[in-house]
Amino acid sequence: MDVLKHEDFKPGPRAQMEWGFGGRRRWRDGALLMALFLGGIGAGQFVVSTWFIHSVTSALVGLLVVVIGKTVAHLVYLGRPARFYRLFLRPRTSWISRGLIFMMVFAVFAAAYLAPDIGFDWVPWTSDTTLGQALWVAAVLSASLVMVYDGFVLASCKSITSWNTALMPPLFFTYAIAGGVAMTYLTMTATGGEILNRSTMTNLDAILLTTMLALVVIYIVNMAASTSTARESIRRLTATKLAIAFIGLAIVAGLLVPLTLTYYDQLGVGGTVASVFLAASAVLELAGDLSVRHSILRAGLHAPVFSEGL
Amino acid sequence: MIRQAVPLLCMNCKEPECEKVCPTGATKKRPDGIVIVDSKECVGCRYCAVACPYGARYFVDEWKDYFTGDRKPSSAYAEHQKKKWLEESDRGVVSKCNFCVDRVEKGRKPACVDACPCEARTFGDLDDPESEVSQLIKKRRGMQLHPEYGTDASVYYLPAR
Repeated sequence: MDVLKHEDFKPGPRAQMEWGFGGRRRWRDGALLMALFLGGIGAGQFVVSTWFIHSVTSALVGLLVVVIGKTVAHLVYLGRPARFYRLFLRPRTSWISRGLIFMMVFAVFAAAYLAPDIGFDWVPWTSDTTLGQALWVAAVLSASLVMVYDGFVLASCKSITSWNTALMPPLFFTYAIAGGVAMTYLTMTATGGEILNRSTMTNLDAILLTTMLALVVIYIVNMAASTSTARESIRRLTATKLAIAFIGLAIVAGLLVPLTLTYYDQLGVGGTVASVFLAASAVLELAGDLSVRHSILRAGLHAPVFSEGL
Repeated sequence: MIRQAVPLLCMNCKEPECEKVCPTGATKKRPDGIVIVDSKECVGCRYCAVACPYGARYFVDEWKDYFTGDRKPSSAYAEHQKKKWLEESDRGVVSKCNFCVDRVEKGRKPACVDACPCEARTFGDLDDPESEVSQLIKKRRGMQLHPEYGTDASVYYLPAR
């Protein structure tokens, strides 16, 4: 058991210390953050790759990021990883159970959909058949649930006001899709594949980045007008060391810079943006995604247990 | 300005948030209302620790020296303590106050209630309106912490007279 520190005895808001880098157990607590991040961008990559780009390689990478990356991160985080199978037992009330079931369903349908294109051509369907299309729809729907469920995990914590908001699910979902666009671009660039519908991807990225910026602003304004604990969370996000991650990395590097490059490329003023800059923009988007999740986790404060006057 | 010591413990809520969020079913509410954690079913995901509004849960991770906070024992007694802890503790799971359920099952009171020299703590059956606790809550206008969360805590605090 951890040695009690002086802040454990102070009244006032109490930071949650179990999830995210910088918690009680430092790097290991960050494994859950990585699990949520990898799940989001992997599922997003699958959706973007199959819907807009029709790239089997990129879709497979997305599937592997979820199946291997997210699973390993979850196992590293658990105190008793050998009992991981018990995580699926309470979908009726627990968002972690639900999310892991969504992940399993996504893995099955996505693998089945990609099977004929990755060497399993003996299966009685292809991506063009009705069954193949049905598998794709099921995979995309379950991927969407994987992308959104971590927002619900946070939103269901009633005592952490900065998390307990209906903005969490759409914020995390939008970040996941945008992360999927970035991952798709990086995968196609790394493998030398031709990006079909490049302009569609760029348009989608522009819309997503604009939406994310709007959601972040709405989130900050909403929290600033909320309880004193929520206002303290915003203060920590914007006026403490955490501002380096939130404002510097998440907003400026992760949103504004990619947004500028994307609009510049979209408008075609002075020619298109060089691929290397778009690749750098994709990396910044991913760093921004990780950073915004980290910041929200670190700024999560429990309301004071004792209110004034006791 | 006054300084007041107020004990914080698991509220053993009638609508526990921890039970709802637990993905394994390790957190259960007994028929008598006590909320327990089955350490053999807990996987240590700490969702309950994050969801609990009262900070009642802690994660049993690794042994640390009581005085130095290091993983290395600072004395021979600390070494003995560490060895016993490694043998007997439920590492990697979440734990909390359970109203000393083993004592309660034998008809005794929780240790903190018995130990308090000022009789500041009272333990009893909230469902019995004639019990001492129910009478105290009614007469002294006992209050729960954060009733707005809907947890319906089983621990009531009596305002100072």
